[in-house]
Amino acid sequence: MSEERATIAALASGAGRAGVAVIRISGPQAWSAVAALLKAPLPRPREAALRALHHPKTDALLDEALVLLFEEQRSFTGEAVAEIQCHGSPLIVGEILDCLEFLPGLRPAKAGEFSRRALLNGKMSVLEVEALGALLEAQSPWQKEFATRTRVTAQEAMVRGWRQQMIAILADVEASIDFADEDLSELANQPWLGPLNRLTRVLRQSLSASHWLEQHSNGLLCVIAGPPNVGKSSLINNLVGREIALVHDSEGTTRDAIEASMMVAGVPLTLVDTAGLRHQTGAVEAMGVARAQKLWQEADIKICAIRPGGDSLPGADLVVQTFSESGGAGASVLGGVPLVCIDNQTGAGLADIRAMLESLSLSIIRQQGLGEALTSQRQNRLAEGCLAALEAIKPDTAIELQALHLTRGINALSLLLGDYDVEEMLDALFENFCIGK
Amino acid sequence: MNALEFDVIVIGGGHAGVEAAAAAARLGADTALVTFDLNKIGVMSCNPAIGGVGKGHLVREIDALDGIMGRAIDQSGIQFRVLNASKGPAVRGPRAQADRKLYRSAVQGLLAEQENLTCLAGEVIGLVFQDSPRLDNGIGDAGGAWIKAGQRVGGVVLADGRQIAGKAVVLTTGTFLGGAIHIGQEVRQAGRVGEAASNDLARFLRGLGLPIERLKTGTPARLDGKTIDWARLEMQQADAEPLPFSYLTEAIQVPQIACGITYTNARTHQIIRDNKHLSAIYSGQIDSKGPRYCPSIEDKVTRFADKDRHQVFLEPEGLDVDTVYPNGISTSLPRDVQTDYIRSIEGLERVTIEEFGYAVEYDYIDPRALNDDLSLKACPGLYLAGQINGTTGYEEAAGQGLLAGCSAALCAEGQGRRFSLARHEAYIGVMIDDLVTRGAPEPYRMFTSRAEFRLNLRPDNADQRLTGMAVALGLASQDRKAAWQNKQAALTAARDYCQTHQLTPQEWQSLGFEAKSDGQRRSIADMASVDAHSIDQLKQAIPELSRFGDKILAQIKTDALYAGYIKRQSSDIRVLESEAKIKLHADFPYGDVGSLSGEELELLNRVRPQNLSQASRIPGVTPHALIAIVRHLKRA
Repeated sequence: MSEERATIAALASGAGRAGVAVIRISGPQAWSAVAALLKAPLPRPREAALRALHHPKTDALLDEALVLLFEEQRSFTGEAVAEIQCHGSPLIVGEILDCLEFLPGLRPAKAGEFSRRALLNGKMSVLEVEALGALLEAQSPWQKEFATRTRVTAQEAMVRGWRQQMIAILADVEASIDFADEDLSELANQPWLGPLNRLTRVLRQSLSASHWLEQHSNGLLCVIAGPPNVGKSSLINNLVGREIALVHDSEGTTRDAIEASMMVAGVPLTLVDTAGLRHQTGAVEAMGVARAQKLWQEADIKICAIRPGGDSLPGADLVVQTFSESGGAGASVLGGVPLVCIDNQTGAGLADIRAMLESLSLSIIRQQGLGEALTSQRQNRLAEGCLAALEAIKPDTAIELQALHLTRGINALSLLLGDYDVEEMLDALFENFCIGK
Repeated sequence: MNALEFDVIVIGGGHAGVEAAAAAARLGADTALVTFDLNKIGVMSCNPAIGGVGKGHLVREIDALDGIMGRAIDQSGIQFRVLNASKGPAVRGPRAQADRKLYRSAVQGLLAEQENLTCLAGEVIGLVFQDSPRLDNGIGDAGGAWIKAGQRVGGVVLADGRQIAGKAVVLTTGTFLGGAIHIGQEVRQAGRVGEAASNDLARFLRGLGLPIERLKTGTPARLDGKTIDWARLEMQQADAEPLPFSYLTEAIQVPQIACGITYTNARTHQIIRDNKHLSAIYSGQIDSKGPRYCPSIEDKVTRFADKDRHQVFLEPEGLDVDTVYPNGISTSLPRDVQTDYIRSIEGLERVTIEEFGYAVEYDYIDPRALNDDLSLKACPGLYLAGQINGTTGYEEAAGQGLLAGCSAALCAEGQGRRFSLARHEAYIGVMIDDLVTRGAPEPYRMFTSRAEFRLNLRPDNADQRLTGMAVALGLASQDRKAAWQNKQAALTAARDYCQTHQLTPQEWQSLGFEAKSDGQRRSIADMASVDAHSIDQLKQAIPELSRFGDKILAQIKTDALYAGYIKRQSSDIRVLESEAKIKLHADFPYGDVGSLSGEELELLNRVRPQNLSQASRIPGVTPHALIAIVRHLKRA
């Protein structure tokens, strides 16, 4: 029996204790495997039915579970599929899987194997598989958004659109090569260069958003800087402490940055307290300062904590005044930057900071144009290849080399999507030009 | 029985048949070329021209393999022009208009000189298979009962009852196989105007159960040049220095002429629109597919309604005849409509039509039934070339003919040698690979854009790529071999010099070249790779170069120009080659592979690719299917 035709089984829902667990079986023997555990007949496809599961050898009752069958071509993997929704105890799941894998022709599914089969059987596109991977790994509502079906469809349409444009451009280039003896004066001045430059810009934008997303897979970086003992740690504790209590020392030195995470408007935010910016005594501290300055540069959101009357740091998005001599909390502006006064003891002003963080995060994300972003490293590398090919084309590039670069670019996008075929280019060519004796 | 017996029998005397017969004979096979009328061998059925972009590339390859076409056009070309002369050398297309009579006699002359070759007049009506009941009348109504998978061909049967025994047979039927000519509503059985179609052979082949379908092509009317008002027309001259097709031709001796250029106009288009329903193509009389790149004038006017004029080249058909071929207005409209629309064109107001245009429909065999040596998978010893494989064009036909003739001779030789060309070796290889993996849903014409290794498959280096193979195979004449070896020696010496002669950036700069001051020594070849550095400039800087001669230096320059890009493609070629090494047996059980879609299974069973590389190019077969096939092979 060939490897591809083996029937595979595995827990499809999350591991561990849960109300319900879903065991998925896929392959030609999926239905008969389930039948081996039943005394009652199999339910009709696509109709869930409650059934008692028995050990095929000992006849012992394993569990009562919902059994659901899907026909070939009409299932997640494209193969015959059976799903057992049993009680979510690891013990029960383990026993059922043991029984299944004991049946001839069945084996445990490897990681990602159901998706792989869905891909092989044309049930999912590469992009969908990648999105599914991202969805399963997503930590936040923000990341999940990139893995939704509508989002993947839009992304696929976007890349397909680029490829379509490149094929149309290539058709013009090839027409002016292969039909030199035809009256194609409309191609004399390389009219494709304009659309090509526009497309280059579009790709560049998308890639810049994609890179931003790649670098921000863990969310946004929010750096809080300011003189020591100004209350930065307390601020962080106040912001995250009561909710997740994730504040911890990192990298072992109190002079170094302290990190904590929180969720703002569905976006994970890493809060970093830089130690001793502006405070330079001794080598260790100097190193800390260098790191702090680098962090400050890299931060998506820069918060400067000051004492009353203190100066803000250049580039700050938000100034927080931690001691209020007048005792009042509230928002104002310092040097064009929003200023919030808080009281770390009472928590006054914290809500204002939260609101500021939320609006800052959302505006940063909006600025990135993430609607055009790609969502995997693989996609980014291929799109980079395509961009490099487009950028290699200059007005004075020999036409056969222009065609070579375009073909490379199209091939990269095709790898991203599916397949490119020379006939597709010829179709585009013949649609647009009157050619022939 | 009679004593007619040959190693190879070639049926058909067109461009495919001529190359097939000559190639088989060059390889030493005792060869017969059988055709209706010996006087028609080498006739140009349609336009009187050879070459062009892509097609010119093919002619260079045919010549590099010591074929006929390049030498024949060099003896008969009356207007040589390199197309794309301002573009890069990889996409320049040598083209020449021919004097029809000169071309035909050049071909016949070259065949007459060829040893081992006999030309026989006759109509082939059927094939004989080895170990099969004797064919009494050759009419193949019961043919399907005789051909069993793997049954060898053993000869042919002629209409007059003669049989010719042959170890291998090449079929090059052109537009004659079941040919039907359409002019307006009128239909006649014919292969060309005034020439009978091969109907018995068509019936015989259909009886064998081969995948036969119909294609169509068209040709314009022929005009009397004396009645054209040339004075009003724009004229196009030949190149000042005609570039020969053949590597063996030193210079073109034939006088060169000019062509006229005119255009259709609104009135022409109106006449065509008003009468479109009378065209054989538009009335539904013909429903087979014609080539998109060679549309009839009715097609052009309909599909490109927004274009207010179409170019027409007026090409004289010879030095001493008045017939003119109006390139650009092929048609299947009725005669009176043809007269009307042609006379609506500037310069043709009082023209006399010598012969009317027509569309021709003919049988072809789905080329996916072929191996890459152009043998029919179902029938060892039987080879197909030219329009029978769904191609169009003299050059495409000739390229296939050469390869099929060569393969047939090797088959007859029985030593297990075979010959095929890969996609990275030749346009001929690209063409045949396209045909056997994709079929020919429309008549197949060569374009340079079909070749993924276009920068290396150039007209200037066809001899570098192919003549060595021809010499090794025994396909090249002594003259060809000697000329090639001389050129190789000269090239090697020049290449060595250009690679080993290196100067510092300062030295190059002092000679007037731009070179980055990076301390890197650069060879002459490095400098030549920059487009702007001409050979003349390099010769001035390094006078020693002049001893290699301009032709050799031009080759060095072109090689250098593309060397970087070609090197980068070498990994693609390695993939191609390694996949081609994974053979798929003719009865590979795709059904057992599993995880192949129904469509993939059907495609693979239909095409039966010879190796994984071919399989990868069948449209609709996914990379996943290839992986599954490889894994199945590894398990087996």
